[in-house]
Amino acid sequence: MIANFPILLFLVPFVSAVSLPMLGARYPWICRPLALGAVSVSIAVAVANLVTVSHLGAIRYAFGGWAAPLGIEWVDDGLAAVVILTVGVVTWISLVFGGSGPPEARGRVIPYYTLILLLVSGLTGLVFAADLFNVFVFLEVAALTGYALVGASGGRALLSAFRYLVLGSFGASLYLLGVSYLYVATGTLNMADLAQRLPELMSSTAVVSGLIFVFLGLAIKMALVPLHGWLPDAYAHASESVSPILASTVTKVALVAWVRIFYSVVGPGIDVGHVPVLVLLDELGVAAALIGGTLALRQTELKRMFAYGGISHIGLILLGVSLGNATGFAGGVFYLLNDAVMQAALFILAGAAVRHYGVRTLQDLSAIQGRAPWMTAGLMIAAVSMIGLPPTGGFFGKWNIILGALQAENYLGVFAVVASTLLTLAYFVKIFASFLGDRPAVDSRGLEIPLSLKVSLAAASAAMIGLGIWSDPIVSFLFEAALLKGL
Amino acid sequence: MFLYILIPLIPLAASITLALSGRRLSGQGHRIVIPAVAASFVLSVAAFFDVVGGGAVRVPLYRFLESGDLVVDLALFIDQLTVLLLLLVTGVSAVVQVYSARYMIGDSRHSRFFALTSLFTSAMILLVMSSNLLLTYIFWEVMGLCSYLLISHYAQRRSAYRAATKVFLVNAVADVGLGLGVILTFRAFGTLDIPQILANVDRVAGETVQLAPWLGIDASVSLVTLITLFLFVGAMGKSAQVPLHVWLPLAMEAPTPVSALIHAATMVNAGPFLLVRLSPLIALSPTAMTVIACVGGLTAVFAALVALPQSDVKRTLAYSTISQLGFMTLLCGLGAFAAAIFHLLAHGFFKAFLFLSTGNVLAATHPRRHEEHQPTGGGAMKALGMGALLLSVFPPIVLFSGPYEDLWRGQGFTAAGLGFWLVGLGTVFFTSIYLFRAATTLFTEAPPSGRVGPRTDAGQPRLFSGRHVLGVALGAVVASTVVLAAWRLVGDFLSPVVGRATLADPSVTTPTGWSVWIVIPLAVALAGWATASFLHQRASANTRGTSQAMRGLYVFFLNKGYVDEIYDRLIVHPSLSLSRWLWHHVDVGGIDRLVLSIGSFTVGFSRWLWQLVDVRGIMGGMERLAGFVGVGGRFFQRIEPRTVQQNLISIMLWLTAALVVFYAIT
Repeated sequence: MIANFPILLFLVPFVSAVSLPMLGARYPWICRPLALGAVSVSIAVAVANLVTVSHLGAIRYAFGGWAAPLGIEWVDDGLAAVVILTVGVVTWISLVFGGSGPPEARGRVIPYYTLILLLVSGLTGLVFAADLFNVFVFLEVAALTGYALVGASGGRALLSAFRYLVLGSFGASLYLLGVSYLYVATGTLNMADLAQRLPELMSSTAVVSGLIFVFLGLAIKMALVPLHGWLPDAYAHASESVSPILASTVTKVALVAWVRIFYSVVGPGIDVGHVPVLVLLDELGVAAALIGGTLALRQTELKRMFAYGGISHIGLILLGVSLGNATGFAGGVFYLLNDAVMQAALFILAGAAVRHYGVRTLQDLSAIQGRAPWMTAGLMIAAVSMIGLPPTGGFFGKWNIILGALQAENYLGVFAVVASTLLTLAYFVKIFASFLGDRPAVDSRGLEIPLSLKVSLAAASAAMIGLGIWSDPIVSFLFEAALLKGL
Repeated sequence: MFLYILIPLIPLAASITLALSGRRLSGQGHRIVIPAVAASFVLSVAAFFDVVGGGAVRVPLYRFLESGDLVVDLALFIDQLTVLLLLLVTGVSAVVQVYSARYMIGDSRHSRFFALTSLFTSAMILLVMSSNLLLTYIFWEVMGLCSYLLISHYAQRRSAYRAATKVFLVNAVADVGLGLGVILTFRAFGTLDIPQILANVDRVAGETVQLAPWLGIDASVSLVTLITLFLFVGAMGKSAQVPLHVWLPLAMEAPTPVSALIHAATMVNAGPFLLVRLSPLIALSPTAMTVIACVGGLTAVFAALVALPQSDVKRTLAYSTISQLGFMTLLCGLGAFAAAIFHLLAHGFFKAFLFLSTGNVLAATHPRRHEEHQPTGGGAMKALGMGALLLSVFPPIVLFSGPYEDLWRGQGFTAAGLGFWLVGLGTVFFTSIYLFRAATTLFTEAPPSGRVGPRTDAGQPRLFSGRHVLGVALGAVVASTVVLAAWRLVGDFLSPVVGRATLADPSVTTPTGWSVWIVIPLAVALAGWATASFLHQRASANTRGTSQAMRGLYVFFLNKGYVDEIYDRLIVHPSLSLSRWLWHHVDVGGIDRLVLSIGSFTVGFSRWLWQLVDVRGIMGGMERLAGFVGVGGRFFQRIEPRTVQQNLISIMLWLTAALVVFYAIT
């Protein structure tokens, strides 16, 4: 049973996703309970898995009993366990809010839940996969469901979905190209196997180009500046039921996949020429954090602003995990968990603003003023966490990244974290300034806030504060169980 | 064990429930408090039999605080002394609550009243059960707070809240003494645990303290004396000893049941209780004993005399309480600790009875001046009369029932023996007189002497008939027999826990059996009755036959010995004028002006600094930075790829650049 946790975590959403259209066509009411139930079961299994991993160490799951170089292998270590649990939780939070849409969206209920569950199973495979080709497969599963979800609301979203599709497929092909380079050079796809064969081949141009292709492919998927072009439009135009889950999971899991490939295949100590690869990655993270924050500051539309905020945070996480020391890595991963929850909360808030108050831009934001105490409180907590103030988790993530940067004597990194904090503060000041500005006399619809929104906001806020309060045990768990080879 | 904890806990829980329930239980408070206190009483009876069978018990509950050497365990200590007081406190309190249930009907602060009386009761229970001086001190203060809140029950009345404030202040002054006593005790014994202190009293017996070493004066005083005197100051406050007695008459502003509670069950009994609880310690210091005896004697006589001319029946009762408390203190000072407790119990029960019957009468007739009362007669009168009789007979019986006169002599104060006799008998005499007056005039229309009122023929004291005299005499004999029997029991029961005065002459032993001394005070008490009745008749007939000196005395005692006025003159007014002077010249003229000038200087300086640093430096810098960020943002936005084609081109460019760079490097 314990050894089968990884496959169980994949099968629960996958089987539900496959059976949901059949059941849903007959009993339409079953979709929401079934999806929520599947995700809840996933969370329970993920918790059990986390406990198991923290006590017994990593689980290596070989499909069909075929050992690693021949068969396909999944690795369930501390990092994967934590990320899977986070994906489960944010999916649950997003589903509670997202599934309670207005009646006109009812016609798409079955595809919506099916696609979300498929997305979760794709992400699960992506997190566990210890095989480069497997990573590609699940990357595509997750991406295809993502395209469909973005385009689901029609209209301008279709255009954004198409752009996402073109750029995402381009990234996937780059990745596949890189994998085939590596396969040609080494003859294996298994990460552990690759790690043994690669060191002596590092002078080979095929291997270097392969790694560059792999990184660029994944960089598109994780929307690393300057390859983030697909993200703002996709998230801004996607329906409010969809954007929370996409924003909180897809880019982060792609980043996790890159981290796993980099640390278990290449290793942190590697140089290309005389330039350590880690330093290059660091600088890319710094650039993304600063440019993303600056761009967010210039946005006038809420969702777009949050989308750029997410882009900036991807830079921060990349900076943290690429510092080459345990503190920075743990801080980066911890910040990743926080960012998932924060993005879910922010996009739920933005979605609720659209759905219940018709508010899309900063200018109209003052219409909510004084009418939505739950949303105001949620926005406050999310803002505190995004800016990175204690007692929320955002503070402790940034704190550990700064500590790691100091340890690595990377003062540019320290500066980037502080500066991106200031930029975050600046765009939240903009939000609050328009939120608290003069209230227009118009009276828009929907004064009552549904229970589902309250539940998801409360869960997200509790998660943000809980991550702060229990940051110490979580970070120490990351130190003990989630560090990858070479740290 | 469980049983002991419940005794204070049930009234406390009732109080909290009532306090938190707010208006929901409005007017229903007695339904919670009466069963709670009654249950507490039943448990106290059980505890009494437990202790009779098994001796003292210590129930540790948990460690309250630990700081350095100071360890305070929240523990209950139940011995013979405690159970007797528990019976008194819970019993009287239960009766008072039952009485209040009717008395307080329709009161606007009904719940508050019952919550507070219940808290009051549980504080007193905890005080007598406490095994630690610090906890004793805490509940001592809780009682002070309860008394403040209860006396200000009719807060809309100016006199009530002024009285409450004064009561609190007088008690606070005395509590400083108690606090110092507790601190000194800790210094001397290294612990505040009462059983441990009592077990170790001999260790500190010989220690002395230099009072003023920094002055170079060799003025040493025994440590025990110092501790005892400080603790006694606290006891003086709660037990209303001269000169800290002024608060007790003021406490009459409270509703009558509260007066009964304060006078009979809680508050005032704390003083004698503390003295008896620490009697082994006190008995070690003859000096302190003498002081205590002198203060007690002075209080007894003074208050009895002041009670004589008072025209308000509740005030008469208040001074009678002070006088009786003086008696108890006197007994403690003489080393007759068991007798003090016995007197305390007897006084408690009878005073409760007196107050409640007075309250009945007052509630029936409303005005509180004697001369305005309509004659009511009947059962209430008889009840009050019997109460007055028993009260006037009790002190002499217990005071002169034998051993204590010997003890007094045994300490070698033969000269003071005379004073003791005078004090004791004098008090008995005056007590009889004023109680007789109170009892009779309350139910007749006769105006008292001093105030010249319209003379009426109905003003004959109706108790003064042959049959009544016979009944009273018989009652006195029966009562004294019962009391003597009870006294022997109580004395034996208490003997393990009270301290024994160190006798100068060990050959003097406690005589047993009937004592002839009892006859003299009884005779004096009856003489007091007779005098009062005679004076009353004469006063009814002729109010002008008194001499100038007697009138002077009368005015002196009518004005309660001018103690309040002396306080006003010596303490309150000087303090007020001093503080007014200090406020005007030091605060406003000196400190305020300095502060203001510093303030205006700071404002000027900070405005300059603000201009220099904030406006020009930081804000200017921030604006430049913000402008830079804005430019950067506009730049990034302009070069950000927009269409799919631009995006693809940008990716291709980056790919090419990366490959070129890496090929170039490798």
